[in-house]
Amino acid sequence: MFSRNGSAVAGLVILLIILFTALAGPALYGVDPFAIVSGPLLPPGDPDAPLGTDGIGRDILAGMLVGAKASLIVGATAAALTMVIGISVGAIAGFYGGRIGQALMRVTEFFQVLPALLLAMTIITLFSPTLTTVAVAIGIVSWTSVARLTRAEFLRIRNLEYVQAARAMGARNRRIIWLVILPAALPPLIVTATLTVGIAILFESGLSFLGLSDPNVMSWGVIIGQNRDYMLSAWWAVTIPGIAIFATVLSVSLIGDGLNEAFNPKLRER
Amino acid sequence: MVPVSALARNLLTSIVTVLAVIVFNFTLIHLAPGDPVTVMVGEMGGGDPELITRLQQQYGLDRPFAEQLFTYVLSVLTGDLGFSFYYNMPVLDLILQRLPATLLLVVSALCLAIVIGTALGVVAAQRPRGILSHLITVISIAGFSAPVFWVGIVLIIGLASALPIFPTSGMRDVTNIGAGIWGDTVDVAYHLVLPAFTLATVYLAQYSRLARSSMLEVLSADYVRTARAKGLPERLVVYKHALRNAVLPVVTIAGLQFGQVVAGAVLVETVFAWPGLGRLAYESILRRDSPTMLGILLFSAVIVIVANIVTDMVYRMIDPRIGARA
Amino acid sequence: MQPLLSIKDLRISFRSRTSQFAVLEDFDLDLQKGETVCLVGESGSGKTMTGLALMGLVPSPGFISNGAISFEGREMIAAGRNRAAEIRGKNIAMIFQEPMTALNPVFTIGEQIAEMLRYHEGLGRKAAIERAVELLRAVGIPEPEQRVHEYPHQISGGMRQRAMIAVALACSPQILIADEPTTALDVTVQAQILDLLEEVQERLGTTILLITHDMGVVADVADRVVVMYCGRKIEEGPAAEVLADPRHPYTSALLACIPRPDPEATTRMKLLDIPGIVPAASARPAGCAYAARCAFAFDKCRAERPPLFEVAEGRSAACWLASKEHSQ
Repeated sequence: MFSRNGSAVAGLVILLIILFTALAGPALYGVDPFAIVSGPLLPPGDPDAPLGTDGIGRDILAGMLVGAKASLIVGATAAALTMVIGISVGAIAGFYGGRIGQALMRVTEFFQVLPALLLAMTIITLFSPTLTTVAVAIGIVSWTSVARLTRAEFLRIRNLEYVQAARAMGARNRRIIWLVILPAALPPLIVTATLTVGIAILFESGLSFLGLSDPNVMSWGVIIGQNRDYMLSAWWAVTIPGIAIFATVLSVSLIGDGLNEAFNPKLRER
Repeated sequence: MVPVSALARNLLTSIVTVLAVIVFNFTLIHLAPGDPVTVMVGEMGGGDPELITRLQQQYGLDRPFAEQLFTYVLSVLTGDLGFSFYYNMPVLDLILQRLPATLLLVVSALCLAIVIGTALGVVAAQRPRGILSHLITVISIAGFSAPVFWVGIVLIIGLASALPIFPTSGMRDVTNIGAGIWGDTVDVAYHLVLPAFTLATVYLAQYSRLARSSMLEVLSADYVRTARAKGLPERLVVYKHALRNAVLPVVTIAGLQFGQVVAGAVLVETVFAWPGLGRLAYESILRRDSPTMLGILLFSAVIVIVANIVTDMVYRMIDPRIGARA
Repeated sequence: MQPLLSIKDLRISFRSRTSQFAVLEDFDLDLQKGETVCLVGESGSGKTMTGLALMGLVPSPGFISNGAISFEGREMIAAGRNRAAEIRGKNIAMIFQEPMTALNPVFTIGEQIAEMLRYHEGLGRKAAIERAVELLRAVGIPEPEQRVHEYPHQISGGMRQRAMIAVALACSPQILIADEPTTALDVTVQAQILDLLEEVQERLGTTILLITHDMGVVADVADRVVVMYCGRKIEEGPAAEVLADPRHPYTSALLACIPRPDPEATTRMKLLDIPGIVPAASARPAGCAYAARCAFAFDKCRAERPPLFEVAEGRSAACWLASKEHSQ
């Protein structure tokens, strides 16, 4: 029997291993990922480079360990930004409704029309490719679905009796939004946040693959992008970082799926 | 079938949105430090200030921002998307030249994914605890988690060594010139297999899961019980009464995804060197070819808007309840 | 006379991973041609499950674990076989409580009626739609030529229930099972729908099994009444006699719940007035299931479940108070 809670735990375990590797790895394996350590395209198993070398002879393992940090940090920051923008816009639109709500939903629809990846690519190219730019660009192009979800939740919750009671007791709007309604809207938002982290990591890896990332920072996507031309002669240089991205996003998705089920017992039947 | 008023309102909103997109994109590009002429001349290795000034005057870059914006909006409204510095041809021609390749890729991938994904989801929904159901849950999570460019690369590596039948790069074989319409079609179809399959894997994961949960919900609806009580065979109950309702969300998502056609194809087109709009977008962004960048950003937004309108109309036709409300 | 439909010793069970329990037990019922029988009980009494069993539509994980159902003398469900599908819709039809959701929103009313005729009677598309118009007219829908091309959301709740009845009557079934057909409707519309059912019965001689929780409905239409509690039949008899002289305390309590005619009331009162709660199907007591709520219960009621006692010609009640020894 396939158990979703079991897979959520598996996801958590994978994620913890990845986090541990990202934190302790570079210290335990002190090779500079930018240094040329050996001949190019050395296959895995070499004593100098356990996971082989890339097209110009840099150590893949070192790149993997150091690159984890950038991939995870950019992913997490971009996801946090996406959630903050999305929740703020959605909460205000859902709580006040009326003209403010209408206007904010127009803005949301406007951003939905813009092609997300292209816009992010444009922003990064125009404003120097640093990790911050990458995270901000991802945040700017991906908050719309969070805003719509938050608004729908706020519309539903704001008319519930206990919210009316808080209002009747003279609570201020700001207090009602953040301390009364938001906590009740959290379950679906937490699930979305988890999935958003996964999407942001994928987004970052895609951008790095295209070379639209800080050239001085190693990340998993960068390794794949820089070795794209050697994919037929050196499978390891492009496959291994991809497995790491896949495992990270998979672990986060599994956790999100498990949380979703925990919040909605009805789904268990499915 | 589709009420005229709803269509008119849609069109009006769309025109306003298109204008907003033009202004937004133009402003964004002009907010960036450094102008395209300086970057381009710099890349060519020359730093001649006189040349830069002359070029800036030629492209109107020395004018105030508001005037430049106004000129741009006017020319776009007359159908002129500007002239590409880099490709040395009108941006609109450039886009239209690349559009068919992208459409071919995305439409084949989407169709493949929608048909197979929906079929899998529908079959799985009839046994919610069966093997296929669990498999779809697993595949959809895995499909969601895999970077699409990496899926393409793994396919290339795997197939190149094991089964080198399908070409891994480009849209046509250079040696195949003059093969006639039939020969050309076959050639393109061969080249299409891997990129379309790669893109379809990602979509497939979504559609199978969506179709499954939608079908599960519909199968427990009262009208499905009615259909059974009418003594209809299970085939009619599932494929007529339930499916017709279960595809409604699939149509919505398909419309949304089709709208993201250009952006969605960038990575796959890059991996397989597919000569489509996505690659053009990527190249123009790298070259800071702003007229082309602006043109593609606008064109992509217009595709999204058109796709939304079409989806809305299709939805009104297949769900009688919506048409009545408008 | 051989009954049109006969249920013998029916038991419906639900299986979960850890346990199995019955939601309907030891259930016997005969339906004669042309009569109206009301199944009365609170939710969870097994009345809807009985209707679904007749249609062969017991929802999973429920299943028929014992008993036999025969229609016109032919075994429908016995020894693990299920031939209910052969007569479903054609000979036995069913209408449901929620006319809002029981019709498919994406097909026209006409299509949903015509489908019956096309599948069961092999009519062509055009002929089927023409018959659908006649059926809509017969159930009292005005302007049937227009309505036949409309969708369920375009007509009112009462009209939808009429359309649902037209669907059910399409193949002139011998038996019509109506599961709370008026509960979701306004009082005035309720009366119209009940009148329509009676009219249909007079015209076509249809046997009607009406499932309700409302004793007022029983008083209006029933020839015979079967009262159910916790998955068992507890009283049965001609409606007039049972209403006038109930032999089971539960039936008396149900009757006491009928509200006096009140012009202000918009819906009939539900059965919430009887104190106590219905035991869950998975945890039924050893004795009489009603004992905990019964004002007359004594020790024997809690220790031993009363069987159905025949209390008069065609009347029975499952209560120790109705047993011969007790009345002597």
